[in-house]
Amino acid sequence: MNSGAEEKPVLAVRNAGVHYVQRRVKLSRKKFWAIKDVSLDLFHGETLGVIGRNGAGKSTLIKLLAGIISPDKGYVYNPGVRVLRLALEVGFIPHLSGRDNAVLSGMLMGLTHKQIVSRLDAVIEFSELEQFIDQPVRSYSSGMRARLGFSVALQSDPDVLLIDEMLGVGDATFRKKSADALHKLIRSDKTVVLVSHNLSTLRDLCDRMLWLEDRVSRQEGSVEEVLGAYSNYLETLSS
Amino acid sequence: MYMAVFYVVFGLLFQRGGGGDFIPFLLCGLTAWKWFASCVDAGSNAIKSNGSLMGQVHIPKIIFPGTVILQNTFKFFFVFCILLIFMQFYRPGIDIVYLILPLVLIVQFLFICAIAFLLGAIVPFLPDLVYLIRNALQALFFLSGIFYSVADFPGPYQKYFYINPMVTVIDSYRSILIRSEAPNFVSLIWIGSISAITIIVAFHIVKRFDRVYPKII
Repeated sequence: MNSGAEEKPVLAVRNAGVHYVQRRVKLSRKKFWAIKDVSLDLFHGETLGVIGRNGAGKSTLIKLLAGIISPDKGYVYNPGVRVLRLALEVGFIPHLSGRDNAVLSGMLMGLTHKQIVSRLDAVIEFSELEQFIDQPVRSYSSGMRARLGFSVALQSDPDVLLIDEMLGVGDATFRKKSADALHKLIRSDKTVVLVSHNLSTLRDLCDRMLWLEDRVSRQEGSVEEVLGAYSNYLETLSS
Repeated sequence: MYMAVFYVVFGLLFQRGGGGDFIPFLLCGLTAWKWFASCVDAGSNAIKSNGSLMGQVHIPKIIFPGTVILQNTFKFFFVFCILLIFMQFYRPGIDIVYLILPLVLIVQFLFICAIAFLLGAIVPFLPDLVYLIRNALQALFFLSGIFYSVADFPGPYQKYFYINPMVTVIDSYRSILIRSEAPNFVSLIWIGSISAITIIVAFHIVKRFDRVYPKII
């Protein structure tokens, strides 16, 4: 848990800021800082929880960590690990079969063709879509699509997994099954960043926590410490 | 369908072209133009229209225009094969100048890539450019000598038509397939090299803004 202090982080963010350009009337433009000053260290094998109110910059931080966008100030240090944001139905094309889409989606998530083909059986088995896998995805219900998407994402196996408030999809049974699978993955030796509003989930799954407030990293530390401070803060706000 | 309409309008109603030559003349122009127009139209919009995918995973953005160009090129090859078969009915036998065809195809491919990649790189910053591109393609269609020969124009205006590389490209197909003459190599090589440079520039632009596109779309 705190043993990471001497260890080298697998991913580090230093005083990062990200701004979006807001287009106003005519030609005037305004910079909007979605993240103003965020720092964090992520160590191998740990699960870092990220908490904060709406608009605190959590999703932007996830995009930054995933390498989808780059910081406009500060920097993100990535020594070459494969970071992936857990996303469903990445690049699904409606007229292709479930099987083809699973391969396509897996490759977009950074697997080689060989890797995803060898994991295809596991994908199909987990999604419980054996009868429909060669049908075009267009004919799937949204629940079926989400099940396939989740099953592929589960096999994507990145070095660092980023989860943005999504723990279970589909009907009640599959929701439980997928949440369980994800919990198992988080508890394993995998390095995970977990964004959630559910305090009990965070307490249950995380080794350390980061609290973002008003687009600035406010506190990074042990779960109890940060959650305690966060709850106190919320109470002072509501009172 | 498309080609039939053109044949009826220009071939029969306007009595254009030298009799039987008009059909192959028109087909050469239309086939080459369709390849160009479909790639540029789809390619220029490709990065912009994949905004949601870019927000989910990191992908080198050049892939988006790249795939649509390959798709349309694949389709073009079928049409081109049909054109070659048709030419066999029209003028049986394979001439030695057919060996130059691959060069013309490569030059046109480079030109298509140059325009599509460059526009694809810029359109995310200026989304309204898409409409301008559509209209420009429409205008160029009439200026590329598809259903008339640029050589029919009086001398002083001709050179302005040749600013448009598609005129040279379409001319080259016609000189090989219809007239069995070698095309103008100098112009072709010029178009090819300038296109190659433009492709490199466009690649650099796309690379430079690789992690900016997801923010602005």
